[in-house]
Amino acid sequence: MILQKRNIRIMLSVFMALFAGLTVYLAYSVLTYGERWATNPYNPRIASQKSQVKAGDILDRNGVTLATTDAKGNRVYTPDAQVRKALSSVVGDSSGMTTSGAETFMANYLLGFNDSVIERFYQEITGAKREGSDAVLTVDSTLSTHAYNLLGNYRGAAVVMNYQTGEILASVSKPGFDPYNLSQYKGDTDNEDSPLVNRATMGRYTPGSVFKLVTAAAALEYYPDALTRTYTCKGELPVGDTVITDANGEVHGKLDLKRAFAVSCNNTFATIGMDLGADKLKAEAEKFGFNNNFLFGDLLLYSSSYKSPTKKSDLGWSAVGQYKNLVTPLHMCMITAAVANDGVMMEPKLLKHLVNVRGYDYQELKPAEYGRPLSAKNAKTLQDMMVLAVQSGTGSRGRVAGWTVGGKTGTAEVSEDEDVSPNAWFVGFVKDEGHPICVAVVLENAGSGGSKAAPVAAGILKKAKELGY
Amino acid sequence: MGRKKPSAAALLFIIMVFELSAFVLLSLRVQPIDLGAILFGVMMVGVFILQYALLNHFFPYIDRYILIIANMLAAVGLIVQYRLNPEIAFKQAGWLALGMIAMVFALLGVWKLAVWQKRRVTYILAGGGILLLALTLLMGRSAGGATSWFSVLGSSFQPSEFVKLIFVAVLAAVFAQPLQKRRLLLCFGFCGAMLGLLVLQRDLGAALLYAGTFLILLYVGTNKLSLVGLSLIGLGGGAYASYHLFDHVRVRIAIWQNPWAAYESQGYQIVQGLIALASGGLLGMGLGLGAPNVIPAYHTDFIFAVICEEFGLIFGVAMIAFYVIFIVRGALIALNAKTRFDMLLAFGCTSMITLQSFIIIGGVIKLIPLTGITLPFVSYGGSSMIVCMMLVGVLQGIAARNGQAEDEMLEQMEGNCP
Repeated sequence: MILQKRNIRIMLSVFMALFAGLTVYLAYSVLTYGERWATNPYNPRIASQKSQVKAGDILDRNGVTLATTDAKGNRVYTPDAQVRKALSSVVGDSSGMTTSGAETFMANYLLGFNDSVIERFYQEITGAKREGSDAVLTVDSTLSTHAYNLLGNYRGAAVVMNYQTGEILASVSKPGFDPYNLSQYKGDTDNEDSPLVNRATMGRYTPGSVFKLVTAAAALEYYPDALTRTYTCKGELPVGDTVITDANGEVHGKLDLKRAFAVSCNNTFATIGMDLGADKLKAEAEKFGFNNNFLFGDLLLYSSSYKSPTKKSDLGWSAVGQYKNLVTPLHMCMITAAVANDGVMMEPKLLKHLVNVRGYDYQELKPAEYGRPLSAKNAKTLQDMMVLAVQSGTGSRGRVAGWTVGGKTGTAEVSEDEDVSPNAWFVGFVKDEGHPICVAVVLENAGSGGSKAAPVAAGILKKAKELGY
Repeated sequence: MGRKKPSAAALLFIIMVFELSAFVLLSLRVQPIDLGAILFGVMMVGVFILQYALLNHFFPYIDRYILIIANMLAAVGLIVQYRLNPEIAFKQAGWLALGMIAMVFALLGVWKLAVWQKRRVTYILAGGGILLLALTLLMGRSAGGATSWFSVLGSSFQPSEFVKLIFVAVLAAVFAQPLQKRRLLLCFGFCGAMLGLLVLQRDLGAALLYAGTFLILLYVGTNKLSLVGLSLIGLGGGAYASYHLFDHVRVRIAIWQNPWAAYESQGYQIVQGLIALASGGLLGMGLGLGAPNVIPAYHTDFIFAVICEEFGLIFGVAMIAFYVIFIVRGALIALNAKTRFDMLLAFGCTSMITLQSFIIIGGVIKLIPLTGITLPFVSYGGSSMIVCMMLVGVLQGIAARNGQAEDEMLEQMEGNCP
């Protein structure tokens, strides 16, 4: 029986391992995804809690009320229709038709799910109508409304962040919706064109030339002589059976990395990408957060993707942000923020703090580092390149009087059809530690980034300057 | 009476306070206070204490920790069921009482009767087991997608639960004897027939449970890795074939991979289970404050999600720890056994409880594909409760035999050296 007893001990260890796995998986999944699962519109507890609990207010960073609950228990939004629409993507709706807004994503605070057992027991016993906490967001409603209006008649999104703390000062998606008039969008939640889709966080766009930030960071990292190397742009770069071209058939001639970045030379960046290879480029993109399943506490951000191309020409195109690369505007703003913040990427934050029923502030915003995609030295070099691009390159319309602005334009081809205009991108930052602002703008089918998106970004930055940021 | 055992009074006291305070909380839910809840709780605790005292008095060799844990888990089940619907708690209390009686019979049967490894008995048990499952398939009615229910005298019961005992007893009897080709082939045929019948009944959870127990006893009993490998290949082939043959198997796998994609249909149960787990957080919503009724099968298969929602993640982990202690105590009984048959029987019962709790908890938390079986001692269900208590009875019967043999040995030694 000795062998059998040994086998029993072995099986017992296997059982222990199984149960350890059970415990670890249970704890891991609930602690990692729990908040996401609980604040899902499918959770019927949210709806049932609404009838028993007075939901807390949603306020902007200056105390402007964006949503509140009236005496009858109805949800009331800010009276200005413009502000309502501009902030609709951030605030969301209380009927659960949008998934990413604060109304749903912060429901556990607004409806008091996070109250302690003692607090709940007390309220249960006293029979008082329970009240959730108020959520004070990081966004500025004035800046947001201005940004929303600046997007004009284009579909698109704009995000403004503080690159030192990760606070989102504005995040707008056009078209927005009016939370008072939601019934017209019923059954429209999965439609890409629907106003219910938050383009800033859920819109995955082809980045075009703004992706050159990542390619340039890779060049600075892998080439010790990156700044002294020269390239010759003939306007057309044959690769295999295709040709990589520059916008409008431009020929840039002999130029170095800085100049190539300023004029956004496709030939140069495609050459760099093909020379570095798919693995290095993919690794660089992933350092910046591509292919990462973002799990932020304050907001829902869809993941961006960089797929390794197998064909060499595709690799070249991917280095200039075409091919199958996809990125959300907020993520693009984070990438810009990482460069502006000397290589440190901060986690995006949307919740400034909570105020409980008794008026106490809690869960104050704590800036958190997301990662360090590039060295401080390379980040500073890239900052200079971005400043050059605004001073004497494609981003000249992104200038703001009184501020040194660095930026990058992007003109992302989205269709083989010549008649479909490209998406216009501009990402930029203020090179001044006293005004740590960065911005990302995308306008769907608007044309070139330099002529369409850069002025919008400049307008947003001007407003931020006016508001004292 | 040989050795003195450490007292378990402190543990019992803590459990009692927990159980009583839970029922006091439940009684406060309505105005005026629900005295029935308090009465129910006091009676339940009273019965547990009485049962514990009586069993310890009449059967001094039994493993008290196994008994305490089984009672504790059953109490958690009753608390949650009372919270969900007092009526099912009353019914379950009746099943629990029957289970306690069945446990004593199982204990006595294992302790006092030495017939269980006789060849004729094994044949009768094996034949009876196959017959029971075959009859269910032919005459049973279906519930929850599986045809595993059988109606007798107005109350339905689930033969695949009772056949568990037969299955373990047959395998223990076969593997307790020296390996013999003919016997082994018969045993493989028996297991194959059982599994085939269970899959045909669509009772995938039970099939998984039986297959796992078979593999474990085969490995422990024969120590032949080649046989285990061969069986694994056979079972794997069977699983592969059933994946391609049966729609419901494919559906199970698909919703395990992404339940959110099929939220409106097949994924609904898992998604609601996960949301319940998440809504509870670390400390739970509080007893009576959750919304567990939205999960299908909340009082049977998904009771673990309900427990986590209302008592919290920490309590859920504690539940898992209780099962672990139970398993370790069961394995110790097997390790102390004096004969191969006793050893295999004890370890077979332990393996059944182990796999069953792992399969259902793992399914609810989406670690493995969900197959509907009950959480031992906790889920609502008469057959399941009675059989779990009988498995405890079998373990206790072997513990009693172990204790008796050890005492006799001690006495002999004392007699030899005065």
